[in-house]
Amino acid sequence: METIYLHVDVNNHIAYDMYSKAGFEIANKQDPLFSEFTYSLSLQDGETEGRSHYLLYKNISTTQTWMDIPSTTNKRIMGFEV
Amino acid sequence: MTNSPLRHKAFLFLRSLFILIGVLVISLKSSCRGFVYPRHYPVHRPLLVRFPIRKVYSYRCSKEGINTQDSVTVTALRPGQDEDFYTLRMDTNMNTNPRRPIQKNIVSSLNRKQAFGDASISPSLCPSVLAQVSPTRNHQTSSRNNPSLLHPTMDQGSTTTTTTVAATEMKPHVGHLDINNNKKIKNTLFSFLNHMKQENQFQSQSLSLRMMFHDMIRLLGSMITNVVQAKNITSKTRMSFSSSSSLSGVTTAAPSAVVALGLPMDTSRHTSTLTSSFSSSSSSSSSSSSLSSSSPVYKNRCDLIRHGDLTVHVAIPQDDLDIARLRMSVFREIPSHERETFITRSCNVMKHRRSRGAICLVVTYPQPYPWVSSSSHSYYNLDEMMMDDDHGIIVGTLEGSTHEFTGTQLGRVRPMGSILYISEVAVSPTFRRCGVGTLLMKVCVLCLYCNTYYDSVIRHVFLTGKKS
Repeated sequence: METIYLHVDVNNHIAYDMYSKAGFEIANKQDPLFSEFTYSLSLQDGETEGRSHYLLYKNISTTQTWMDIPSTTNKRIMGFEV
Repeated sequence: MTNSPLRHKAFLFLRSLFILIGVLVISLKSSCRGFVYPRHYPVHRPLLVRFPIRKVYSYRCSKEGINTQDSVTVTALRPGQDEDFYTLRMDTNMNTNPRRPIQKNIVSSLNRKQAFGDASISPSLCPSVLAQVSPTRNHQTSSRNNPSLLHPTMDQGSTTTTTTVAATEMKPHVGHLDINNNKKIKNTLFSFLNHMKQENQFQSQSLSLRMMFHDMIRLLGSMITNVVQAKNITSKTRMSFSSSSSLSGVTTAAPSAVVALGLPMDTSRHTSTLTSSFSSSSSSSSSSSSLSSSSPVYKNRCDLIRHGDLTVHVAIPQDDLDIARLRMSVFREIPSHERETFITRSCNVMKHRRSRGAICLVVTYPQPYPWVSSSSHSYYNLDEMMMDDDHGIIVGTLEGSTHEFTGTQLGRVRPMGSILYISEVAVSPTFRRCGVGTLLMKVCVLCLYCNTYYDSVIRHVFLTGKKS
């Protein structure tokens, strides 16, 4: 096990302090990996009663394994961009 | 006209061929999308824990001790090829509640011979050690008087030898051993371990040293009783088995209580050990510990952590209702008529998530809250809780799973088993701000960190500790 992820409400300061003490850090929301993961859990900003969540992570091991991102060029997207 | 049946057959053949080719193309395309998580993890996914770990105790129950009898099983493990790591596990099944018949699953998961074999050593291999450990050998006479007192049974399926002892008969024998004999027991244990090491019995084997440690339990219990009766000896009940081979630590308790052998790294600092219903908390030698069967008296809530009365273990399906109620306590604005719906839905979600590999850790407290009345909190009413005298009240939960990453880019770029998602962290309102959440996080990280390197199987993790 290399990394632990969790979501915490931005207004839950007590929980955030606890996770911070435990070594968790806030992940970058702009990263599409994390934003898509948050979106898959329906925890994006404003989704549930207007609440927002931080995505926290903690690296347990010193080295993390990242594989190549699969290409999504051939992914068919419905609709069109303006 | 004569060719029409042939054409029809050819048409059917071509159609089936096209269908087959289509199925193959779809399956190949789906398999090439990248990393795909298995849909279902095994329900009883073992947690792997590194030894020696301070404050971590393993817990194992045998089949014979499900109901009203205690079974004591001591297991010595040697994970991997490292000769310096030994694990002694002494477990007592205090399960008198039929609501928790799950210990069989734990036993079966432990008996899978994962990484190391699981074999037993006959008690006849160590008669001299038994004689050393128990100078009086009191159990022989008592077992002669009462055959049900000491009834060794051999587990046919798992080759694990266990001893089933009637709980009522496990009374301490006062006067057999005083506290000065700690060194003797310590030396005896080490001589036995060296003996087994010389005979290469530790090589990928799991030992069940039932009679020897059964005597040890009695002697240590009598030791505590002597301390209680004398009232002039401090509660230095912890023995140190420490040597260069890093085997150290023992927790003593009443004969009918949980007994565990721990492996602290820093024995000079770590004197607080796993306590039991006997409340034999081993604190510093200067303090006057409360070695009594009554509930301990705390100055404040944080003493819970300091006294080590909170235990952490993996939740079982029978805990779902309590966990759901606890999670409901997080939300303040649930009307009373919707609580049952919430609990039912939460139980279903837990069941579904467990089937997909999620593991729920729970923190339990062994007694009713000494400082809070049961009706003080309307959302977490103790009257609604299924009180479990043996395992306590669930005061905190945490759920770890990996199936959330399925189908996401993050799950595709990280290998399976390298990432975990924590959710459903909930702590009882009564136990907030006293270290329960930190305890859960520490156990979770500890188990997962050790999962990377070591291969010792543990199902129940007990962690006693101080608030760090």
